[in-house]
Amino acid sequence: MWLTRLALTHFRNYARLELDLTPGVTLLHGNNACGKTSLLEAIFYLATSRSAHAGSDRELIRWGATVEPIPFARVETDLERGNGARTQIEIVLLPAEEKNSAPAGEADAARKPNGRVTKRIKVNGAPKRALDLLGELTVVLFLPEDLDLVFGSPSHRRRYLDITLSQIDPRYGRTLLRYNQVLEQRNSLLREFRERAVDPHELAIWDRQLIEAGTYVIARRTETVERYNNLIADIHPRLTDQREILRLAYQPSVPPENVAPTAVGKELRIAGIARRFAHEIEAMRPRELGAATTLVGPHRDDLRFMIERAADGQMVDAITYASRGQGRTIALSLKLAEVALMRAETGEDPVLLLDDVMSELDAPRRAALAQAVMDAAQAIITTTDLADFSPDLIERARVWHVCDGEILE
Amino acid sequence: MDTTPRAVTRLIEEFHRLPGVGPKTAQRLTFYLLRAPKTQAHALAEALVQLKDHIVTCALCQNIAEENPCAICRDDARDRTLICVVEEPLDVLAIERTREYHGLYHVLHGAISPVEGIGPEDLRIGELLTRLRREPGIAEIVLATNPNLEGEATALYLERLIKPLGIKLTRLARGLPVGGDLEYADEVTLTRALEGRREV
Ligand SMILES: [Zn+2]
Repeated sequence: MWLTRLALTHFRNYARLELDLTPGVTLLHGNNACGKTSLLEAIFYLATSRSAHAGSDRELIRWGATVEPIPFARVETDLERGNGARTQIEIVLLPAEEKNSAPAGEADAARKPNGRVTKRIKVNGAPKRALDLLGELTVVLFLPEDLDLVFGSPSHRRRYLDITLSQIDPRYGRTLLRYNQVLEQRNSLLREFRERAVDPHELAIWDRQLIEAGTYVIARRTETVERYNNLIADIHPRLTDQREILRLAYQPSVPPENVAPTAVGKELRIAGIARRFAHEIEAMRPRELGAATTLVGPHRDDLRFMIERAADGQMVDAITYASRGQGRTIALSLKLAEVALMRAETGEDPVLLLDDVMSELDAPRRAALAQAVMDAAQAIITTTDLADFSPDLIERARVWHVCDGEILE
Repeated sequence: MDTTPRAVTRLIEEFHRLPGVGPKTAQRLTFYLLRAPKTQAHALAEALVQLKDHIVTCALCQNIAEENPCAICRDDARDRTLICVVEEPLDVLAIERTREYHGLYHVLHGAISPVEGIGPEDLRIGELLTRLRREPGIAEIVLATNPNLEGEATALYLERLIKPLGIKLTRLARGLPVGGDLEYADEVTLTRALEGRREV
């Protein structure tokens, strides 16, 4: 799929921008901090209704300079699929009308860049929930911060898996939302039990819903990591001149049952996860009551990158043993595998969004990424230096110059 | 200096205390009433007084009514072996509109939600258990809480309490939109859900 139009109103540093896009490679060239990244952020937001960087949605609204009575931001796109079908997506961000805030001085309150934001999403003109937007536009985003996926905290890796899986499988997005709501209810109840007598019936009703939703999340993550591994088995050696082997190791907080995954069918496997989950929750009960929070479940999963150590051929954890350069290659393998995974799962090329990542890579890795870019139906790339790209790629690309919220071809 | 008359700010504040009404809406409603004919404002005030002075809670089903017991609980034509448990009085209205259900009701006045600080003791669950003990003829209980997280949790909780009593328990079939409210389900959907209720 590819975008044919992108329009921004009061989004980040753009007062108003209307851009016609074409399939193939678009290079956005400009200095740092001049608004190239905002364009990619807008596209990512249209795909996921989530901010590309874990931060407040309110920061996406262009505050201060706006003359509107109520500040807002709007992003719109038209996209086209391989089969010719067209879709229009629009998201309007408004500061939420805060209940119980003092009526006096509310105009000031609405202008403060914190607090909640209301999203109004429309697909082909019809209002949609954020969950129903997922899967309309699929994107793979390459950021310099991808290094955090390798070396950062487990929450980075969970967020990454969740956004990828939600784009592929709408049911995953719905189930994860439900899981998080159950988790919030259950944690509230555990906190209440510090003040009053524990009612096992009350806990049991949330346990059951936690296990129901959580089991699907774990099963889907398990499956997806296996598929990543099949893809990465090809991709990573190619990126490292056949010198390195990479494997993703999914580390669920609910340990799998001790049977070879191939030995049992899918149904039995899911039943096995639910059984283990129930067992772990039971075993963890006294500690959970003490800690007043839920200690077992997919919100505590991790995903690790295992690489083969040259010295002895042992598989070791990249978080401790990989160099920064190796980390960059691991992140790149992961993203390239994501492109292939999305293509296979949805039957449609995702849109590639690259935010100034070329400069971080050495020549062989650059060439591999450039190849992926040229193979994609559409790639939109920001850069501060056109010299990072081969003449071949620049020849085939549309080059735009971005400067202070203005774009020139 | 704020020169807004006290009566105006007071009404804005009162509207603002209502659920779902933000400061902007509260102002809009107040200024609308300020410009509306006097008769309209008086009719609203009268309706508010009537609401609190002439509405009672039915001691049997806990529904709001003009008399205690309510018209449904007093109606001899209703099937007294059947109780449908709902969250809100509006859910009774929604089910009555289908004309497919002829049993009695029990209104919980909410659903379990620890996040909002609502536990089982905040709902009319004790009243339901008392009713089940006093009226031995009850053969079936239909759990018709909303098909969302809190409604589901409330149904599971009731299931655990009522099952040991040996009364047949059914749950509205999942024809209802997931995450939806009973109140917003159309009649066809509700009728289908009532017909297809499953034993739990
Ligand atoms: Zn009654």
